[in-house]
Amino acid sequence: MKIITNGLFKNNPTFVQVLGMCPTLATTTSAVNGLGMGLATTAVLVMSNMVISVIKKFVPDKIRIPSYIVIIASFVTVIDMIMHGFTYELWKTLGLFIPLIVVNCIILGRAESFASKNNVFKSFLDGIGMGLGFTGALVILGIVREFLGNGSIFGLQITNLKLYAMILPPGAFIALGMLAAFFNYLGTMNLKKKKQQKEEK
Amino acid sequence: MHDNIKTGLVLMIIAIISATLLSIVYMIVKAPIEQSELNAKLKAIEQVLTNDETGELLINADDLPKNKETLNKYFWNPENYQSENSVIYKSDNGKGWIYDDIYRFNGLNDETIYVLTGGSIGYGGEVKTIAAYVDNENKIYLNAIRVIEYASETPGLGAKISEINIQERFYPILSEGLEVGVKVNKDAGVQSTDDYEFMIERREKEGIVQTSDVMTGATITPRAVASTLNSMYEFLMKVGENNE
Repeated sequence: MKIITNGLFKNNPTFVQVLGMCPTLATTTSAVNGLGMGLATTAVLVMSNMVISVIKKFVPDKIRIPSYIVIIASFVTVIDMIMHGFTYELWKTLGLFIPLIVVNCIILGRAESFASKNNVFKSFLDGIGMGLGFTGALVILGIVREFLGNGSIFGLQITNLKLYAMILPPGAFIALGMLAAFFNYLGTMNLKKKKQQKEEK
Repeated sequence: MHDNIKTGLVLMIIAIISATLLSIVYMIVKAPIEQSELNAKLKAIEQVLTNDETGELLINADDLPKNKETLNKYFWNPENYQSENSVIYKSDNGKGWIYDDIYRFNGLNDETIYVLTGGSIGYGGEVKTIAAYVDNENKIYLNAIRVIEYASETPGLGAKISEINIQERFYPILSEGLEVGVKVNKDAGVQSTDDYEFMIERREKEGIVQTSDVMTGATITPRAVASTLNSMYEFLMKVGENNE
């Protein structure tokens, strides 16, 4: 459980580790796009983490990076083909960003720092935690940008607010900055609270 | 030496397993991929063959293609044109091109309806459009369009071309409008208007498509659609001349 919550909150790949910024900034123009991208990345992360954990003992150190990239690229291609066949509209909307999951540093980062040092089950849980943490961050960012830029959430029109800049690249940086600051503030408050509780004891 | 062979072997085994996995998955999803592509195409063809005002089909409902076999019955290969990399025609100004999957239908009033797929370069890549042109006693008019590929356009700006209410701004256009060329209102040097009737008249007879009010800050994408529509008309006119 600790492994999962680690990826979700404490070491959230987007807001804490600031990893995978390219898809985070590019695909969060709407909540649905963020969710689709997040789930696709989670699937790749879980599968690649498990396989890398299994083969870690057989792969010589000097070829571990090319080996991991081949494995990650294979799973990304599998997800790309499955989405093309079964979720055509979402596949069309996400476009080029699905193949680009290959170069998402969260995936290679977790392969290097976690899957190559832990067993299959732990690697699976890490993939789930980090993947859901990434998905959550993308959905929150997508909701904020879609609401401010288009006045809707998950396509449901709520207001007539149309701050177009929020859907454009500058809006992605502004929203990400604001959210990162907010989560940082929450983290600091949490730490202070824990410190106070310790002192009281 | 021994180490190098071991390294090479490990990489080879990983590559072989990956390739095998991909081949198996491809074999499984090949049919669903083809089916979803075909479904999207059939849906777009049905939409462009529908009269936007009345909501009625321009052809007999029984003639509407429902699968690959019935669609192929309407495949049309114009004389004197040969396909090169799936492209059958490039416009004289080089801005648009037509793909070789052209279909010809017989309308309810004996008119000939051509459904063409074409493309042009938008802001980030190709913008692909499918359109139906009705040839009624040698007067061709544009019935409807659907933009089917816009993946490289900027989300929130050019990618708004995917919205039906924006695509509806492009049709119908009468032969007078097609003759002078389809252009977005910014290129025509005219302001957008709130007068709906005037907007329709300007589009139908002068080929001026008003997009500046619904696609603020994005001119290149609608311009690409306009270029595609002009290429299609140019192609149909040339085919008509050749046949005379």
